[in-house]
Amino acid sequence: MPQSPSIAVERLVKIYKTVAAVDGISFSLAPGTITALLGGNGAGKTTTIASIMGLITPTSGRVSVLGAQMPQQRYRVLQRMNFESPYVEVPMRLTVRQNLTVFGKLYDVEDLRQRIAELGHELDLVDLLDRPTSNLSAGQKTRVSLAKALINSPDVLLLDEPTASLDPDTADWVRGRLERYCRDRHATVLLASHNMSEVERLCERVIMLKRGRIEDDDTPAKLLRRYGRSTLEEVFLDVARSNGGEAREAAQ
Amino acid sequence: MSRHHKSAVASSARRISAMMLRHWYLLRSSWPRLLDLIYWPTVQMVTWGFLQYYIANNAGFFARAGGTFIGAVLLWDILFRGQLGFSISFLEEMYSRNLGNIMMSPLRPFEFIIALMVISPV
Repeated sequence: MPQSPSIAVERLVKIYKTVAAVDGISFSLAPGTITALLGGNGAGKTTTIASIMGLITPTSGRVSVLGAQMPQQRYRVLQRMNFESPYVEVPMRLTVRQNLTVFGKLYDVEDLRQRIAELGHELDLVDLLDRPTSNLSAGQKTRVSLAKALINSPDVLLLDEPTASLDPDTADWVRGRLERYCRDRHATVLLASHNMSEVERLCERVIMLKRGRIEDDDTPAKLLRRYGRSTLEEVFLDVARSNGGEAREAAQ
Repeated sequence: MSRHHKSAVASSARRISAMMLRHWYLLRSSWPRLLDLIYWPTVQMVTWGFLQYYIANNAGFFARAGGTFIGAVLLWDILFRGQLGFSISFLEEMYSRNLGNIMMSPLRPFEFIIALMVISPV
């Protein structure tokens, strides 16, 4: 029997005044998969993610997460979701432990002390737990944000550039942790990133958006073959700079 | 009250207390905030005490009317400070760029408002 999708987006349209930020996109994500949402600025990634989180009401179409319609039933499933973005921060004046305690309580996490200790070990935060978040480096703050995103062991994890501002070694380490989390927890991860090597390593599927529409949707390997390119960055540029269809035909 | 309803109320109370805890941690971490917390009530109480003392020694009609007026002003000031506390607590979430985390958490808007209302008199 096929598994029901963790995230299902059907003919999603979001129009801001006269601009269609998202224009009739449909996709569904199976549990335990990592998918990338790629696209240039203004392609509709943030609007799509905001719709999945239930933060905005679609102009038309449907979004369901873990069986709940968004945004109407969002409070049924928010406890099983989480997200991380470099554009949203945890309070800087609080220590790492205080921040994780507050968010753990917000998500009603059982045995919170133990969960914080586990995350401390997993994300190498043990020595930082009692330091104010403002005193941490950019990379350490990213790890704290990731700890916050994993505090409730979410079944659906939305990540916006999870390794932004990390050095290559730490970024690689974080990717390893995400892979392991997804595999162990069988969680669904939707990732918006401009780091193509990250997408190639982490994601088994790539959805490419352009002007609010899905330009292409496949595995990284198949996309590379189809566009006749050796890296996803080149595929991204093909899609961003020209008509995706033309690029594909030229490659074929 | 059903078990499901009781557990929903308990969860709601936990989320409200989590937001209050967040502001308590903030208060503890900042001495200017603590100083502000102590300074204004102290100034008001001392002013109020001196005025009461003066009014008690001049218990005419105008003095009593003045006392009532000052009491009203003091009450107004308590409400004003409460409103200020509410607004500042909300602005604090915006300033610290934490509003996105809160909006994505299971915290309902009414729970957020209740937490701000409870924390604002402090």
